[in-house]
Amino acid sequence: MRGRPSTVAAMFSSTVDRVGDRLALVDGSERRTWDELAGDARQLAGSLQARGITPGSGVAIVLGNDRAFVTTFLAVELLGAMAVPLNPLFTPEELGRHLAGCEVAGCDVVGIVAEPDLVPVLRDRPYTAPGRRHPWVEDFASFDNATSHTAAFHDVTVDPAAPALFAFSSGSTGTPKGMIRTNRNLAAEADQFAATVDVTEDDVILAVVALFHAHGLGNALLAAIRSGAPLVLGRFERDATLAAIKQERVTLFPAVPFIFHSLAETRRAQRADLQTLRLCFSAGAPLSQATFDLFHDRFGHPIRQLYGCSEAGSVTINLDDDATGSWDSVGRPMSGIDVAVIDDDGVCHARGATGEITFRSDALTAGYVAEGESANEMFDGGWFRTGDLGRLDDAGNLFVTGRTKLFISTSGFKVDPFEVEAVIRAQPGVADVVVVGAQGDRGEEIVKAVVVRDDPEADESPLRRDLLAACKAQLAAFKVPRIVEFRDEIPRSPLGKILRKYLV
Amino acid sequence: MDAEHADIDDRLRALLAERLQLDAGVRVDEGASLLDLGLDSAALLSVVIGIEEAFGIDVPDREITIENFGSLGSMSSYIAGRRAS
Repeated sequence: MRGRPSTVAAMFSSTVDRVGDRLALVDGSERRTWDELAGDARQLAGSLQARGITPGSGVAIVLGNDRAFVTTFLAVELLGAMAVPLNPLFTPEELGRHLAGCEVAGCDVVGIVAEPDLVPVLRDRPYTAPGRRHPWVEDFASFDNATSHTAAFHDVTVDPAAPALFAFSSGSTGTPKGMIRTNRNLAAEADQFAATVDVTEDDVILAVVALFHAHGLGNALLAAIRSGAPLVLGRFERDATLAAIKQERVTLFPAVPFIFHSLAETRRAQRADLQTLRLCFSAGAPLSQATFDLFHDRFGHPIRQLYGCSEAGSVTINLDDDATGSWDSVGRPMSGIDVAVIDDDGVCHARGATGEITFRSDALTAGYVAEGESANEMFDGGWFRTGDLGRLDDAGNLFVTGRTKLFISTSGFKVDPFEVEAVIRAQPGVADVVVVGAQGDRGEEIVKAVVVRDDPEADESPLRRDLLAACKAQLAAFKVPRIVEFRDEIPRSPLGKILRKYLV
Repeated sequence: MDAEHADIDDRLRALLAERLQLDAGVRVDEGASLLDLGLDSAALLSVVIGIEEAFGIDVPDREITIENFGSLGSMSSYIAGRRAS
């Protein structure tokens, strides 16, 4: 008996051998069986070979959730090349910055397959270093045009240790860090998810979360390739999504809290038929009890939380029998993954105590490329220190409670900025607040609150006095901000993340 | 402006203040772009869901556009049109 496939190409080929005549994907009115998808991917792989893509080359995929993305990803993997998925909603500057990041990290992007409207933008953009060859840029349709398929695909033997994916981790702080995930990493991720969730070819996976992001790539695309479950592709729209679930008899629904909340809040969704779903799971942001309750009341399905990261894909999922009682847990480790909660010295905490969440997994990247030692301190002897705070209960369920990296170390104590922010935000006259650790005179960290007033003209002094009085009344002395600064707005990235470095 | 439009506008102002978490002192002008008040695609969908609830209409997703919902005036016209039809 052959072992489990350890490359993306081998997983795909095994699925095609097993269930080739069954449905593989639905994209609007287009449908493909696994056999047909294999034909499409091999044809595109031949064209990519003719355009100079060899094992190890990078191919940027700047596409939405459609057949083009799936086919291009598979073609790249058949060639033993490295897929570099990027958000098609990025501005030209952001795309340029990420492509430049690939180059710095030694990922040689030879070609780019992009949405048609991005092709001229990317062709004109001089993001490569002087003297470097500019990658070619094409839209999928230009390859898909039958007349362009003149090159036959020459089969490639893909090494399980070969890079399969170049991804960026933005984390909650700092600039995006590039990383390579090998074929073995992605095959392990798919195995872990399929084994834990028991995904088979009889499932149907709805893919409305971005395939260029770890959640969609791992829990929709790789899960489908591994199991033979068909993918129903699209972007999130309430009517289309609800109709797709019913028509295609979707069983697995990965999404984010915003999507679940919008569906549950929509009046006509109350008439929707979501009976075929067997698992709705949420990742990417913490789930609120309001969203859980609303969705559960409307549709009878508990939203299960999944915990993961770009570095390793999915790590834990809540499949607890008592879904309502443990709604706020991200569940237990996926099959083959070990999770521990540790203190600052790396010592494992007892059950129930809060500490930093760490895990080890065969799906974990070897580290950030072209980053210094400090960035790679998170990779600790095979264990990955997530920077997230959490605790394990007696049954082994993980609860995520915050982030360590944002903690402010002051007076020998650690201050959770969110706790201080909650106190200040509740005060009258405050529109927004962010708490950061600023450098004190003697190099120590001090707690600083940056406050946006409801009325920008309001007098600072009385408001500052009131805010500090509230903090003193509700917080330990070491948590009370030493500095309160008023600003007109909080700087945020295009993705809405707070740019804390501009606040210190 | 007729009474129906005035009534729609008042209810929309309250709804926008709640869904976009606008400051109490902000009065939304009829023609002002809501993009300037922080309306991104997620907030837009939230406003539309609120409108569906408040006015008892269903807005098809393909009609959730800046043309229909980019200002208080355009929202108001859209709602009046849907109620008339």
